[in-house]
Amino acid sequence: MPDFRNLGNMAIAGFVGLVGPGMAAGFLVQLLKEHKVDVQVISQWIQEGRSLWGEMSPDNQQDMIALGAKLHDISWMTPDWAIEAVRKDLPAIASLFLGWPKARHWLDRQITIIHRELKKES
Amino acid sequence: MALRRMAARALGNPSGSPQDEDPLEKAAKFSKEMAAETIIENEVAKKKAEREEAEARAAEARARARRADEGGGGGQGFQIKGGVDLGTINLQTEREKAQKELEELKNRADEQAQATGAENASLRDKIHEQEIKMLQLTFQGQMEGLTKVIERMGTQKNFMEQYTEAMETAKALGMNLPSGQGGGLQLQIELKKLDFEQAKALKELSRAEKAEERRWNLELKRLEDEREAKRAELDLQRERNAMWGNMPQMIGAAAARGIMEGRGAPAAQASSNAGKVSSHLEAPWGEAGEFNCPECNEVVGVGPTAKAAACPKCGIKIPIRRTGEKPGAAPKPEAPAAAEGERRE
Repeated sequence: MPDFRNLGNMAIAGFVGLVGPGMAAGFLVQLLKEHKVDVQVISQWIQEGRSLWGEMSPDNQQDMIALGAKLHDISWMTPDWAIEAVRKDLPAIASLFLGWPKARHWLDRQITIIHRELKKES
Repeated sequence: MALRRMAARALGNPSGSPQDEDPLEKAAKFSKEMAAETIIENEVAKKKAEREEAEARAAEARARARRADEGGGGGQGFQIKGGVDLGTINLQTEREKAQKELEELKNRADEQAQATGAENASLRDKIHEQEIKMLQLTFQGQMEGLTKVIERMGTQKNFMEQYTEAMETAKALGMNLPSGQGGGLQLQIELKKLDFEQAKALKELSRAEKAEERRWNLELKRLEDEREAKRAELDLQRERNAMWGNMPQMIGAAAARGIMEGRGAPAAQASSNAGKVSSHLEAPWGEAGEFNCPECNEVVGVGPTAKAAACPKCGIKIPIRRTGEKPGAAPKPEAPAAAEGERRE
C-alpha cells in the first residue's frame, strides 16, 4: 500500500520548493517598502556597512527563518535573485546594485549573512 | 314711422340666432315693446292734433285780421249799399280790437307752440328712455341666453342623453322622421343604444386583449431571463470546474515562472542596450539620488561614490563624472568587509 502521507508531504515540500523563490522575493520587496527604504537609505547603509539582517525586526527575522525551514534548499538566494526581486517594484535600488560595485559587494555580504543565519537556525 | 323703425332696430336681435331665445321670453319682450310703441304713437298723435288745431286757430285769426284790414282801408272790397242802418261803426275801434285779438292769438299760438316744443322734447326724452330700456331688456335677454348656453355646455351629458334631448327638441319643433325610415323614434333610439353598447363592449374586449398580450410578453421575458441566468450559472460552474481541473498545471506554470525569474533573470532580461554607454552625468562627490534613464525613462539610482549607473530596464551604462573634492580624505569607521569592498572599488 503506498504511503499517501509521505507522498503528500513530498508533494507539499516540492511545491514550496518551486514557489519559494517567488515568495521570498515578495517578502523582500514588502520588507523594503515597509521600512521605506530608498536609494538614500540604502546608500547610507552601504556607506556605514550596516547589516540587512540586523536592520530586520525580530518578527521579520522569524518569518525569514520559518520560510528557510520550509524551503530546505535556499541556494537560489543569490545577489542576482535579490536584484531581480526588486527590479520591478524598486528599480532605483536595483540599478544601484547594478551600477555601483560597492553596493554589489555589500549585497553579496548580506546574502552570505542571511544564508549563515538561516543555516544556523535550521 | 321713424319711431317704429327706431324701435324695430332697437329690438333687433344682434346675435342673429332667434332659435336660441326662449319663445316665452320672446313673446313677453315683444308685448312690452308693442305697448311702449303704442304709448309713444298715441302721445305723438295727440300732440300732433293739438298742434294742428292751434295752427288752424292761428290761421283763422290771421284771416280775420286780414279781412278787418281790408275793410278799414277804403280800397276795393265790399261796398255796402242800401238802406240798412248798421248803426255806428267805429272802424278805428274795430281795428284796434282786431289787432288786439290778433296779438292775443299770436301770443296764444306762440305759447302753444312753445308748449308743444316742450312736450316734444319731453316725448323725445321718453323715447330715449324707452330705447334705453329696450336695449337693457335686449341685453339682459341675450345675457340670459348666453348663460343658459354656457350652463348647457357645462353639464356633461353622455351621448344617449344628448341624443334623446335633441330628438325631443326636434319633435317639439315638429321635425318628424320620414315615414319610410320605419320603426319610429323609440326604435331608432334603441338601435343607437345597442350600437353604443356594442362599441363599448368591443373597446373593452380590445383593452382586455392588449392587457393579456402584455402579460404574456412579460411572462415570456421572465422565462427568457431565467433561462439566461441559468445558462450563466452553468457557464460559471463549468469555468470553476475547469479551473480546479487545471490547478496543478497553473501551479506548475507559476512555479516555473518563479524559478525562471528568480535564477537566470538578470542575464536573460538584459536588453540589447546591455554594455551600451550613454553620455555621462555630472554629480558632486558624496551625492546619492535618482534620475530617469535617457533611453527608457526608467528610474535609475546613483550611489554617493558611484562612478557609473546602470538602468535596470534597458541595461544601458551611464558614466557619472564626480565634481568637487572627494570626501575620502577622512576615512569613516566602517566594517572590515565594507572597507575591503571600498578598496576593491
